[in-house]
Amino acid sequence: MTTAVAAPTFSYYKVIGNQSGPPRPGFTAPIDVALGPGGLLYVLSSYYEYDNKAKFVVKCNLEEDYLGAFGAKGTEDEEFTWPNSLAVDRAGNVYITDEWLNRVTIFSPDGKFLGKWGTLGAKNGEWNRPAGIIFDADNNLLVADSLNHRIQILTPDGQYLAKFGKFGAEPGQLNMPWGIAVDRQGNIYVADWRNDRIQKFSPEGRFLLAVGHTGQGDGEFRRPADVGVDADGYIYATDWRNDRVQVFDPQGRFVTKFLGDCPGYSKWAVDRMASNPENMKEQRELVKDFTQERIFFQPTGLVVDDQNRILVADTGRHRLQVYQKHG
Amino acid sequence: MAHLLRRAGFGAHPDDVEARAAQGYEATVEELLHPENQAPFEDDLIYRYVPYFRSGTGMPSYQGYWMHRMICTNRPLEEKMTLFWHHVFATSYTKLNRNPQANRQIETFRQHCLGNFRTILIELSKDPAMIFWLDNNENRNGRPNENFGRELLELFTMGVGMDGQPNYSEEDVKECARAFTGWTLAPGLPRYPYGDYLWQFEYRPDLHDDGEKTFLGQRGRFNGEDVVDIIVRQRSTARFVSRHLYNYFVADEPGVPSWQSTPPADADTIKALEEEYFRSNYDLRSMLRVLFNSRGFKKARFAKVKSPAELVVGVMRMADDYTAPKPDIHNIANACGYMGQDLYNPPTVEGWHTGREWIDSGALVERINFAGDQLGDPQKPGVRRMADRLAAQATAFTPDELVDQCLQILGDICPTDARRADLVESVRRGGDVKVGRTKAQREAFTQRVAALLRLIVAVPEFQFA
Repeated sequence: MTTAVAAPTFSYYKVIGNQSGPPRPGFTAPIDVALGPGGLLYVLSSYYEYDNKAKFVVKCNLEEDYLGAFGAKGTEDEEFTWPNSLAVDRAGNVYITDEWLNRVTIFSPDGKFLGKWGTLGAKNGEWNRPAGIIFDADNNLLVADSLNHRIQILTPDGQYLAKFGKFGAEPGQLNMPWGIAVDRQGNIYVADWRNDRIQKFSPEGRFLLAVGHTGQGDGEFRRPADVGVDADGYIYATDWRNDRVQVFDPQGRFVTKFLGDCPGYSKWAVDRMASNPENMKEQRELVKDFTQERIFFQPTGLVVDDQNRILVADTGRHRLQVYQKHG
Repeated sequence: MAHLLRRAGFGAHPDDVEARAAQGYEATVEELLHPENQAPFEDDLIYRYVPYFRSGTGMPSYQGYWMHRMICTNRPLEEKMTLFWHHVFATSYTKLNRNPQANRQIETFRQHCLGNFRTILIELSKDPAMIFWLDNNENRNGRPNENFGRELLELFTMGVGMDGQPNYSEEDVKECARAFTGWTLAPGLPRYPYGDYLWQFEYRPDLHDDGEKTFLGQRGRFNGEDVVDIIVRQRSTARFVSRHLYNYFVADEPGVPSWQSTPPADADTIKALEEEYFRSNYDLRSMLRVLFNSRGFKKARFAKVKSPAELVVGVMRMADDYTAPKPDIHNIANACGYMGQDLYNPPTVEGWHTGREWIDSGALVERINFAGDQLGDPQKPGVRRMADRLAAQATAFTPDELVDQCLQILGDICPTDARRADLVESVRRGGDVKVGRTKAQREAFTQRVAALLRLIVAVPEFQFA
C-alpha cells in the first residue's frame, strides 16, 4: 500500500536589498548567501573589479536589518579578487572561497580577518579555482575544486580528508562544479556546472542521482550555479543562464520553477527611493510592464533555511529573492 | 596571409599564420567570412568569474567584456565588423547614460555584421540606443526632430555627395525625418533600485506622420522601412558603403566629409565593391569576399594605420598571455582609450578620425609602451614561442639575421634601411647571439629576442597594418 503525499506548494516570501554598497545598505552583483547563527545572513557580492572601495560581504538578516560589511578588493590577507562562495561554521565564522587567489579566507562573525589557507595544485589538499563551499554535519568543509573537477572534504583549517569526482560527463564525473549542498543524511549535491546537471552523491562520494541535462525546458539547465536541499529532500537549483530556479522532488523529478516574482521595493529600496520620491514615482507611473523588475537576472547562490525558505542571490538585480515552501 | 589576418582580424601569431598559409588564401577568406561555422563564443567562463560583465551597470564592465571577446574570439572578422559598425554608426554611452543599452547595440551589430545592409539599417533604426542618441524619441507628427533622418543620410548611408554632386537635398532630410516619426521607445523602468533595464523599441502610430512624402524623387506615404528601401537602391549608398569598407580594411582614405569632392584613390576596387553591392542585393559578406580577393587589397600592405583597438588586440593575441579570463581586463580596454579609441564612446556621431589622425605624440607613446610591455616581456607565452621558433632554426644568429627574423615573425614589417640598421646595431652591441643548449642559455636567448621585439614595436612601421 502506498500513501499519497501532497505535493508542496510555494509562495513568494520577500525581496531583500537593492543596488548599492556599503556604507549604504545594499548589494552589488551578489553571488552567494549563507546562513549564520541567530538568523544572520551573510551576502557575498562579486562587486566591480574597477571599484577599489568595494566591501564584499554584507551582514544582515531576513528582516533587512543592515548589520555591517567587510572584505576589500586586492590580494592581501583579508582581500578578494574573484570571491565565489561562502559558508558559516557553528561559531559563526565566515569562510569565503576566491577562485583567482585559490584560497579560503576566514573572518570572525564581525568581519575580523582570522586566517587563510589553500595552495594552487592538483594534489590532495591543493586546488585550482575553489568555488562552492559548505559545512557538513561534522563541521568539515566540502569545497568544489572546480578546475580539478572534484569535490574535496577538508577540516576547517584546511587539512585534507577525502575527495571524489574527476573530469568527464559520465555519471559521477564532473565538469567545473560550482555550488554544493548537503542534506540531513549527509548526502552531497553538486551543481555540475559545465555538464548542465545536478548530481547527488552519498556521504562517501558514491554517485546516486543525476538531474537534468542541457536545455531550456523544464528539468533542463544552462549552467546551474548552485543547489540547495530542504529537510524533505526537495532539490533547488539556480539555472544561471536560463535565469530561473528549478525545484525537483527527492527522486529528481521536476516539480516547478521560479522565474522571479519581486513585487516592488524592498525595505532598503524604500529608504533609498525616499531621497527622490517624486522623480521615481513619475517614471514608474509611465511603465506599462514591470516584468523586467520582477524576474531573476542571473540568479547564482542559493540556500534553504530550516523553515523551508529558499533564499536566492539574484545577481543581476542586486538583491535576494526569497520563496517559502508549504507542506 | 599575415596581411589578410591583420586586416580581416587582429593579426596572428606566426605559427597561426603558417597554418593558415597551408590552408590557402581563398579558403582562409571563406573561413573568415563564415564565423557561424566556428564554435560560438563561450562567454560562460567570463561571466562566472566576472558576473557583472553580463549584468553590470558600469561601462568598464562592457569595455572589459568586449576586449576579452576580441582577444579570445575564434571569429575575428565578426568582432572586426562589429567594431566597423560601431565606428560607422557611432553612438556614445555618455549621452545614453544607460550602459547595458549601449552594449545591446553592439550585440545587434555583431548579430548582423556580415548580413544584408537593408536589414542592418532597419535594425539600426529600431535600436533603442540609436533612437535615444539621435533624439528620434522626440520625432513626432507635427513636431519633427530631424537628427536621425539627417545622420541616416549624411553619415550612415549616402554621404552628402559624390563625384562633385550632392546626393540629397535639405527637403529629403525633412521628408526622411517625417517617415521615422513615431519610431520611439517604450517607457522604461528607472535604474533604481535594482539596476539598469533595457529599453524597448516601440512604434507609435499616433505619433507617426502618415502623410504623403517626396523622398529622393519618389512619392508616397512613406514609413521608415520605405525610406530605407529607397536609400539602399541609391548608387551613392553603394559608393558610401564601399568607401567605408575600403577605408577600414584596405587603406586610409580622407574623412567622410570630403568624399563629395575627393574621388576614391582606388577606383577599380571601389567599382568592384559597388557592383557586388547591387549584384548581391546589399550583402556585406559578398562585398567582403570581393574585397579580400581583390588586387587592390592584396597589394595594400601597411597602407593603413592600425586603430588603437587593432593595435591592442593584435598585440595581446600575439603575446598570447590572455587566452582565458583574468582579472582587470578592463585595464586593457582602458589602454585602448588612452590611445584615442575609447570603446562605446566615439567622439562624435562621425565616429573616430582614422588614418594618421590616430597618432599624436601622446597616443604614440601609449602605443609603443603598451606593445613594448607585452611583446618585450620574455615571460609572455607568445614571446617564448617566437623565441622557440627561432631557436629551432639555427644555433646562432648574426645581428642582421636576428633582426630580419624578428621583423618577419612580427608580420613582415619593413622598416626603412636606416631604422633597420639601428636595430641591427642595437643587437650587435649586445654581443653574439647564440641559442645555446642549457636552460640558462636558452633563457638568455629568449631575453635577447624579447629585447629586440621591444625595439621593433617602437619603429613607426609597426603602427601600420
